[in-house]
Amino acid sequence: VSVVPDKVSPEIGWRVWVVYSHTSLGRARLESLTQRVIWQPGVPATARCNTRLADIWFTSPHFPHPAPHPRCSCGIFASDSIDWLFRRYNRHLTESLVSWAPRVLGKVQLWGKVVPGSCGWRAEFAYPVELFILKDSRLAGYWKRRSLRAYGVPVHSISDFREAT
Amino acid sequence: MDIGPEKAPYVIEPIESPVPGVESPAAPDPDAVPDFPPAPTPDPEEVPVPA
Repeated sequence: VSVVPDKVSPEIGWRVWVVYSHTSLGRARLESLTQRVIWQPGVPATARCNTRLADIWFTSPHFPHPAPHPRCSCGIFASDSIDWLFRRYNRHLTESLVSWAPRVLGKVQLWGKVVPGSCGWRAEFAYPVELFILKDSRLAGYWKRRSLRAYGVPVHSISDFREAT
Repeated sequence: MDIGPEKAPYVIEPIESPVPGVESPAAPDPDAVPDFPPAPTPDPEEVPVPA
């Protein structure tokens, strides 16, 4: 069954990732802050419901379901405002954490099934548009920057994440 | 992550692939002729036998 799209332009939102050096992959990869989900270069991130069984029992009677489900909290999240992201994830963007496990700030395109909220979206598919890393973080090392370039999007080194605005 | 009060979902189908270097699946060509196998021709020697 084909679905007639409501829009043809992806939404553009803001996200924060953590970067780990995956020895099995031999490269640095973007990974969700809250889920053990790796964003692979050249492949759209695809939402899957990882809601805990206890939560599903009470909140989502239609499990398993395609993500994002309107009555669940699943999907790929992004904020429509970088200010909101700073308020919500300020702790994750401080230098102490950044130096231990580098954070990446970025813009993402969101498409497929999309659930809009008052300050962001939950989406079925996503892919980065632009990435921002801190100049003085460990991520600024040459090989990691080079690995992030595998995503095929601009990677900017900045002194402060707020410069991304 | 909290995105505030939610509204009804919708579907976005980008015309161009959002992934650099990856082309969107090609739309079907409306002028394309389907490549069906030829229909079997009946044997003129064969006479149907009533049951």
